[in-house]
Amino acid sequence: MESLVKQETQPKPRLIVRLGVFLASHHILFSVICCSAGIIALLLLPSLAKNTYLSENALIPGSATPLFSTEDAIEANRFMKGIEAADGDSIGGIDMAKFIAKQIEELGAEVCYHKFLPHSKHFHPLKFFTSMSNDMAIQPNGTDTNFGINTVGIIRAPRGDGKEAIVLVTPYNSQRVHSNELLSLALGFSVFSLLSRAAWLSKDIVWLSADSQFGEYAAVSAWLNLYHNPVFPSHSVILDTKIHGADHIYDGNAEKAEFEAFKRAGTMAAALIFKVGETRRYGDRDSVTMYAEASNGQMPNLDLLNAVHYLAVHRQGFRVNIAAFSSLLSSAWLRVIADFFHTLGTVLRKINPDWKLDIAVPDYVEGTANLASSIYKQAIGVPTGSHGAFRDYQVDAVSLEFTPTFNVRNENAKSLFLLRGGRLVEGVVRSVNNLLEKFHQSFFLYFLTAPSKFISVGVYMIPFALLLAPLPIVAAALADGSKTMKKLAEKSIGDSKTNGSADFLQSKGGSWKWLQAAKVLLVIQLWAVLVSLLPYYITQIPDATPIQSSVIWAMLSIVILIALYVMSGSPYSAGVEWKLLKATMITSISIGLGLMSIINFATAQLGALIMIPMCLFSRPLKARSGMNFLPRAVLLASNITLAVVGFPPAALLIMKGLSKGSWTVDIGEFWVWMEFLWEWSSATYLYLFLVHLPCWLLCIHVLLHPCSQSESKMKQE
Amino acid sequence: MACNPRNSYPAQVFNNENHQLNLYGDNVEVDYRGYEVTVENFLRVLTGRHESAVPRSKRLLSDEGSHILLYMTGHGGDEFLKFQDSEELQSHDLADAVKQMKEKHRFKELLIMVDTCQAATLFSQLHSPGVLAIGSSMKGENSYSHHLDSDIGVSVVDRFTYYTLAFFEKLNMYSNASLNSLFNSYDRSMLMSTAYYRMDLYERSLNEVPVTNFFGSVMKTLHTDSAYTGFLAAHDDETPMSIRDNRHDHFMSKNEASARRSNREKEAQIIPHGWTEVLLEQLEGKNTDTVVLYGLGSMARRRYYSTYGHVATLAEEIQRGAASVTGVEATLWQVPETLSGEALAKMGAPPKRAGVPAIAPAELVEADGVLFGFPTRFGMLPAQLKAFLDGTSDLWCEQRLAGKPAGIFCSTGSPANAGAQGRAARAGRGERGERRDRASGDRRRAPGEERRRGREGGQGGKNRENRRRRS
Repeated sequence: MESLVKQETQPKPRLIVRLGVFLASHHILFSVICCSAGIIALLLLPSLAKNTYLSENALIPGSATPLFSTEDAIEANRFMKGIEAADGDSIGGIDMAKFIAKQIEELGAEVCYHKFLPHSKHFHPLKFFTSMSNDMAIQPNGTDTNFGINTVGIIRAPRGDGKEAIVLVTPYNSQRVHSNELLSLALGFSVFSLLSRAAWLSKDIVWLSADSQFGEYAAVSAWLNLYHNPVFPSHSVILDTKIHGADHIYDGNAEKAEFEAFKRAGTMAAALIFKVGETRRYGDRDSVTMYAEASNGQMPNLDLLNAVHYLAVHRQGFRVNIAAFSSLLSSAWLRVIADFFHTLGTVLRKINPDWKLDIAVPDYVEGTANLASSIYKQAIGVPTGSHGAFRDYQVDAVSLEFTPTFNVRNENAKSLFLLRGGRLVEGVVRSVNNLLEKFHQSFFLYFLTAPSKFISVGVYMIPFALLLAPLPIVAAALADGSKTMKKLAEKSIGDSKTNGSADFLQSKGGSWKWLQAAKVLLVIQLWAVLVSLLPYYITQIPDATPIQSSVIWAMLSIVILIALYVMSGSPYSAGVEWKLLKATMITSISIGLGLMSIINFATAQLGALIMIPMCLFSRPLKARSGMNFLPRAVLLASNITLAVVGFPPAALLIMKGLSKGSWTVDIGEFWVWMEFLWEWSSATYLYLFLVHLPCWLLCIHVLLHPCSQSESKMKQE
Repeated sequence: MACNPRNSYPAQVFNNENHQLNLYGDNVEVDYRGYEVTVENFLRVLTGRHESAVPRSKRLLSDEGSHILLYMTGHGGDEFLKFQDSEELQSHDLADAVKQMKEKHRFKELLIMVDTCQAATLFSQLHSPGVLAIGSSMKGENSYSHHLDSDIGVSVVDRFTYYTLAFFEKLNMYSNASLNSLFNSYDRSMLMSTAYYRMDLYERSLNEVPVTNFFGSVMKTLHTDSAYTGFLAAHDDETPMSIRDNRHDHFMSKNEASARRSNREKEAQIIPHGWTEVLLEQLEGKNTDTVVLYGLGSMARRRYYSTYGHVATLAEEIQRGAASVTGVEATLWQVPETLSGEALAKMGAPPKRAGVPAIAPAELVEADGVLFGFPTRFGMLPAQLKAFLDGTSDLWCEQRLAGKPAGIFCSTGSPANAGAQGRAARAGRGERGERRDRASGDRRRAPGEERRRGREGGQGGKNRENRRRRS
């Protein structure tokens, strides 16, 4: 009677609390709905993509008549012949650099050489959190004869204030020059020569012909590093770092020695990297492929891509592509999904004409292939070209790869191509030159589904939010579940006071049981940190093949795990309930995904897609439930499948299968892949080993949980 | 814009792609440019609430007889106009500024022309009498550019502005075309928007108002016999006299108050009056309240050096003019002569004026303002005055003259200044020596001319290139 009065006097809980309780009591249904909604929303993304538009009014691309004329194309041809001749009697590509420098000097522009060494592969798992400075500076290594030479030409804007610069980059391999690289050099030179005569420059122009014998990225990033981090070495250091073989580039000529001094222009407003790729004979038009993804999923401002796309398509008649998963283009299941969405969209459109979801099937398939590639490339966190080096210094940059459809020996077609390419580059430069501020109007966070279609951050957050939503609800439900269990235990104590004091203590300690689960989590996290650091030691082993390395890595990981369990006790021996274990797992995955979504959203998105269903539906294989055989079998099967998919090497295999269409298993490949990630100091590496792997291991622990204690408790009751 | 490095034609601005007419001639001045063009500065110019250090050239020196044209173009929207990227002028700000102008007797008639998208919304809040407003487009309409100049790479002129200019190209200086004919010349199919004008606040019939009241500076001048007191009290003594101003800036915002001051006077005796005025303006510009509050306490001094008596005559006229203003006492002083009596006798110089005491440097401190008058000797100031100025070094050390308004007047006959006999050059505090005469014959620039034109985001005052389309 008393308690009844008490209940009446108690105020009704607030709506949000009641809603929470309601959702927690139906958490399984809720999480199923949210997960499927998240996946459907993800699949819907291609039809939600919007057309791109120029936000920055100052850009006004294509409003000025291009000045690049056939004479400039002839100039490019002349340059090409000259550099071919220089290449013929060249030793180590030095004559080419000299030739380029001479040509630049004849234009009246400033020129300097930049010598650099390839930076060795280093394992920097934490480099993401530290600054980029100075790790690529030339090491004092007197014996190294293998160095690259970038040639840098600078046009000072005649009436500009010299505070800003636009960078043009043409990579070429000085050791083995292809004719298409010569073509891109010629294109770069002819644009540069035109710009040296332009009356409208407000920003300086820097033309970097990057020596890509150690990779384009290495050349550009070494140059950028020196550009932004000036070194003031004492005289002795200069002598020490003198690179052998570098001397014969200067023929004792005082004027030439001047080129050695590193020259700078203003702050970089934007950078355009362009190269001419191999001739491909599909398509009727020359095409341009845009690459924009920089490290950790950073993208340049969408306005830059828009300006390039607008000029290429609407002014110069190029076909513009972005990278796509070509295997998806022909996949049958995608076509089925596209059909489904198309019919759904047409039905919806009949209901409300404003819902424009009915995207045509080929558009959807193409959009998905592009989107998947866009997400994947951002998620990997490795730049797709040398534009990534610019992004590290907050410079908007985009790489353009021209794919001509003519034979390089065809002079007429080549001249026409040079004309159009030159006009495109000139147009982009003029557009960026118009800017008064930095790029700030348009999006930085976006996925591309087509060269002129994008999904902004506001839209692509939805699937992620939907996937993440059930996590707190399920955690609350699990906590609630363990509470009721405790109540049951208390009741049983109240019923039978005959039980020993030990039992009583144990149940009293129940409110602190999560501590043991947390201990398990801590041990696993410690293990993950150790595993992520192992490659540093494994790389010290000389002449190890990738397969050997990965086997060593796997063995060491297992040994460490066993050792840690020996030291801290098996996770099951302390009698941790699987529900608590699952709750800690959910906590850690929420924190991990939340953090990762800030660093690299695409990684978090893909991670959520794999991890969240695995976490939400994991339950011990031995757990008894009142379910029938069929649902139980389905649950078991899905648990096992998800756990397999969640294992990083398996996930890698699936990724590879999706992107390249080959499904061969190679153990060494995992090592190569990881090496790739840490070489580029991608945050994805940290995510994989500090978030993904521990969660997967916890999930395995939950799956293999013996469930004996709860059962014994039940028996006691 | 003319000096922007992006301009392919350095120091030139064109009204259309033919590149025939350079709008940025040698006689164009821009008072506010670049990041100086802010809403705050704009409102200060209109209402006259300036910091004391702002030079005259940056002020709108108008009075209750002024006709003012305010021409605004740029990016606009519903009841606002963008200034640069970050700021906007809202319609109620404009209405408030106009109301303040009205209450401070800063204009007689104000013509506001706005060329932006939804321009008509910008003047919807106005309610001060004497204001006539016209906008290039109604609410919900865009204003479009006329054409793209593909050489320069931007749209150089907007439709409304283009047809306004085209209208004036057909007129000559003495045309008596009315505002009505200008307003009716806007054709909806040409503008691609509806030019809307609001005349409920304007009393005169548009048929009777010649466009030259606002454009081209063809106005009646008022010839005053005594010192001009327009800024202190409202009284007019009209003597019509036609003068003309330079035509090149006929489409800029400008104030016709200039017309009230003769700037083509030949009679030397008038000039001192003008100079009194200038000094008074200086005093006023510095601290209007002081003049009003302290009344009789104000005192202006004139000191001169004169050998043959020309400058002395000038000085006396100035004194007469200044003394006619209430609260101002003008005293004449002479700079001590350095030549011997014998030398003066040989030069045939008349005796010095009696009753004008010689000045000692310390006496400068007592004056609230100083005017120096002197002849020129071979284009330089005479040694006597220089000797006197050298004697003020003690005062300079203590900075005791700092902040006093000062001016100069001179009489010259040397070839360097031929044709400017008896002409007074002046150098006001804060703008010493920076003043340029705009055109030959103009003794000085029309005061308060406000040369502000299209203010476009980031490019400031001189930017006449109007964007393709504004939203």
